[in-house]
Amino acid sequence: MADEERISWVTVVSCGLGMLAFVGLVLMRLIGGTAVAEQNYSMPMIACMAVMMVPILAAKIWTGTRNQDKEDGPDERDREIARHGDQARYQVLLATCVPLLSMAFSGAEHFWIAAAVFAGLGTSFIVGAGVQIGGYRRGVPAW
Amino acid sequence: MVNRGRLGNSIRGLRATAGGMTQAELGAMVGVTRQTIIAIEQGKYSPSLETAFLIAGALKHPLTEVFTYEYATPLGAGN
Repeated sequence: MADEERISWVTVVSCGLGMLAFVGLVLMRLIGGTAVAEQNYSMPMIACMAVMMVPILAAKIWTGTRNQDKEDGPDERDREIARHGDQARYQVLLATCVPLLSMAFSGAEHFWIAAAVFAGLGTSFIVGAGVQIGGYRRGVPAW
Repeated sequence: MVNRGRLGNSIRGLRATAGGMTQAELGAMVGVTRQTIIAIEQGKYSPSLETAFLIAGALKHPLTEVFTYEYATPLGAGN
C-alpha cells in the first residue's frame, strides 16, 4: 500500500471519528437537558477538529520523513490521484456553501451554521480521501 | 464521438526477458514507485507519455512494442 493511500485511510477514519465525537457530545448535552442554542459548542468543535487533523498531520509528517530517508516520494500517479481527490473535496465544499448561505440569510442560530461548516469540512475530507482510495484500488481514469 | 479504447502493455513479459528485472528496479529507472509499475502492468493506470517513453527505454524496446492501444471500434469505422 502506498504511503499516500495510508494517509487517505487515516483521513477517512479520523474525520469520521471526529464528526461522530462532536455529534455524540451534542447529543449527550441534549439528553442532559441543555438546549442546542444554550450549548457552548466552540470548544468541543475545536477539540473534535483537532481529533480530525492531528492524525492526518502526524501521518503526513511520518511518511514525509520516511520518504526523505528513502529518496522515494510521491510520483506522477500519486499526484494524479491526489488531484482527483482535491477536485471531489472542492466540489463538496462548493455544495456546502449553498445551504450555509441560506442558513445565514434566514437567521439560523450560530450553532447550526457552525455545525454545517464543520460537517461540510469533515464530509469534504472524507469524500476526497474516499476518491483517492478508489483511485488506488480500482485505478485512475485513462488519458 | 471519442473512440475511447483500452491501453494495454507487455511490461511484465519484457521485464522477464530483460533478465528478470523487478518492478522496483524498473520503477527506480523511470522515477516511479513499485506500486505505480504494478498499476500500469494491471492496466489500472495510464502513465504519462514521458513515463511511457522512459519505460520503453528502460526495457530497450520501441514504445509501440511495450504499449498497445485497442480502439473501442476499428479506426475508420465512422470515426
